[in-house]
Amino acid sequence: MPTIKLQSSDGEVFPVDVEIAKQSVTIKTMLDDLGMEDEEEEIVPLPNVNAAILKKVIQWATYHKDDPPAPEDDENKEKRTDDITSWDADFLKVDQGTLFELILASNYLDIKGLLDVTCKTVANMIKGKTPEEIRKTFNIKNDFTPSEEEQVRKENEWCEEK
Amino acid sequence: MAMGTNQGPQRTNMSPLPRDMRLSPRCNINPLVPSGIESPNSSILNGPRGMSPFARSIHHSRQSSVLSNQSSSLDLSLSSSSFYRQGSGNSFDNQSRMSSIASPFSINTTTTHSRQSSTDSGGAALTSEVVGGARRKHKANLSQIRNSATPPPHKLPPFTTTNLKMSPTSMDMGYHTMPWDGTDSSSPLTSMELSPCPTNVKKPLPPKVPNFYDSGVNLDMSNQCVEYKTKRRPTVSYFSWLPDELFVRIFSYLNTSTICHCSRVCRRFYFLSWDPVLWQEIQLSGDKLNADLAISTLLKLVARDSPHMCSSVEKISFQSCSKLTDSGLWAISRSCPSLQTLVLKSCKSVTNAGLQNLVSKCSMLTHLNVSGCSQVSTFDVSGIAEPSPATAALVGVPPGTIPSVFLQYLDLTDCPRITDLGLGIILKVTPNLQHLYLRRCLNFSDMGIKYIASHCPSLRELSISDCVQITDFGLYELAKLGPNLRYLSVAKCDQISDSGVMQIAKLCYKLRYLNVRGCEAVSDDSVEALSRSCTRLRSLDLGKCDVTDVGLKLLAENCPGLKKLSVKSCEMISDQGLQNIAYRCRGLQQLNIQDSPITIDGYRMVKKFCSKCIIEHTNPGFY
Repeated sequence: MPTIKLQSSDGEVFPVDVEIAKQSVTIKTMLDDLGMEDEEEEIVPLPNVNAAILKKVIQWATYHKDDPPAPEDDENKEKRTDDITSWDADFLKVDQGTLFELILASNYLDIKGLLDVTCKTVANMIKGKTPEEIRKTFNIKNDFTPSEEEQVRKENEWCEEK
Repeated sequence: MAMGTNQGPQRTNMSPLPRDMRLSPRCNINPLVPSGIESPNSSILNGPRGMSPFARSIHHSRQSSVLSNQSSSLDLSLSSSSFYRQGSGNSFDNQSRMSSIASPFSINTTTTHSRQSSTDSGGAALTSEVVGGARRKHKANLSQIRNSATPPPHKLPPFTTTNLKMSPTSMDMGYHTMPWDGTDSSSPLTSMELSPCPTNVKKPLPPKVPNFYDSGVNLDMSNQCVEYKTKRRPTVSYFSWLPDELFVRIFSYLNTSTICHCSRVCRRFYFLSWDPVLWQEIQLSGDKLNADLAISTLLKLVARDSPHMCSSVEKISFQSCSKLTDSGLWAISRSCPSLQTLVLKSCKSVTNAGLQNLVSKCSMLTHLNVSGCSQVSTFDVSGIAEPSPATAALVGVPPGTIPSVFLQYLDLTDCPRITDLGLGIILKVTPNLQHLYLRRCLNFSDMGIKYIASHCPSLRELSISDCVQITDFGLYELAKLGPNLRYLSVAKCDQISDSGVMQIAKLCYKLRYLNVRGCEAVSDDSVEALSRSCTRLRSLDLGKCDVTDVGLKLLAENCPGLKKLSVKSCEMISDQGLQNIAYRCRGLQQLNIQDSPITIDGYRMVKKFCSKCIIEHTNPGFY
């Protein structure tokens, strides 16, 4: 099988099957546009992805190489977050920094499946939490002034009556 | 609320700061920063993986950009101080500071932090303020646009609290606060910065800054300095890495109440929470919920881009909101012109009047579920005006002479006050209806069926299960729908018999789904008629019917496409009949043989021929 060499931001080169790499629409488009010959030993630089993350991305893409093509975004489809496969769930048992980097990398590389599952994972981390818990989980500073906070609280009053 | 209405058009400009890129020139002129000094964030700010999301995006296009550790730490020191201590309502544009870098204030700032970092004086508050920096950029963008009429000078005035004008934060939530008033000529905006999202990072190099390590600038800001320490624990929120569109993408997986919780987290969350993209659907539930208040508040917040109108909202659903009244529906009908789907499950305070108003105002409504709304008996929209040609064209109906609504789906399950007459009034104006559900409408009889057949020629699905007044006469009327009918449930209508079902089978020959569960007068004769006429049958529920192996054999021979079959409580069938089914209908996916005389042999036969079939049974001996 033809391979392609992907170079991470920190210079590491990963040989990857072209078919696996083509799950990235960014790479696929590039290969199609350039009409790269198989035997050409071109190195594709990915300046936005470091070696650790690129390794994870390749691991994910390798496991999912036989997945059917992702269905087009169906308007009527309910947005679910509980349909993460156990392999993906295990794969995403990583620290927050890695998870967010995977989101950015999959967005940059345009790998819809990975982007979906990482975004769902973050959404699951938000679900069922109070605002204070969300701040704590993600290290977010509450930058409302007291009067703003009061107004936002009022806007959400109905939420608390449950 | 005021903030809401002003944010929309600029929303796309609110990506996080291109901190590194904008500020990196400083490192060129400050070569003396010891490279050993690293901010707590240098690990994440360093290099491409550490860039702020925005800087990353720039990096995509400009791969040659190289950022040094120094730029990261310097950048941090500037953006972290960011005048933040002056109050969060005040925003300065980092860019303008950049271009007027020579101002004594910015020198002070940098010096302060460099020193502090070298002394490792502890305190983790700093990094979280980097996030704040991103948000302040949002505000700054907006304020730039707002104040673009005033040609600003290029120098930043000496920074004092006196030249700051505090905006009434209670009014605008801070997103578009402008710390100086429009007439103030000391506004630091430059025309260059009116393009809010600097995708082009080429900024004019700032004037040379004195070497601050030797400058000995007196620090009079010491009380405002943020301490920080070089612990490895990151204190920046990873959310600050994400551009808005990814942020919204994550939010799109959250339901209404979770998004509302998110809106209380911080300003950026608040702002993005009300992005109309997220509000195509609103879901509210709960008996104790003050649903009227909830929906009117939500609609107000979502309508920030276009006052009073929430054109993004297409689906609203209420689950057992018994406190929802007509005034809540009134609010919806006023501000949701694009509403297509409305679900009101068990909203017991909703009445005919509210529904009537809503159905006539929301002309795009195609899907209405009022199941369990026990007060609803009818809604009369025959008085509404003709649909405008635009609407009609959109829905694909020629501008009609008769006023009509475009409902295609109507669920009136568990509305016990629905009568034949009430249903007739509704159906008169819904010629496009394709799905109608009237389960457990006990006051509904054969007369109502007549209205269905005459007013809704394109009906495809109908359920009248548990409508115990229905008889064979009703089925005769129903059969007039002809081949359009694909789905019919008459479960537990125990007055119907073979005669009615045979008429249905004869005329509605494209039937895919039929449920005659509990109609004990239905026998092999019906099954024979069905199997001869409705060969496309996919799903058949014969629970408790009077069928035998003969019927099953005919079914097996004529309807090989059967996917679901229930012969629950059919006491006259045997393994023989089931074997026929199993042998011929290999695509069977679901089979119910509960309380039937089927033995382990029949069970194994099904297992053998229909390997994918899920079998429901009550025999503990089966395995």
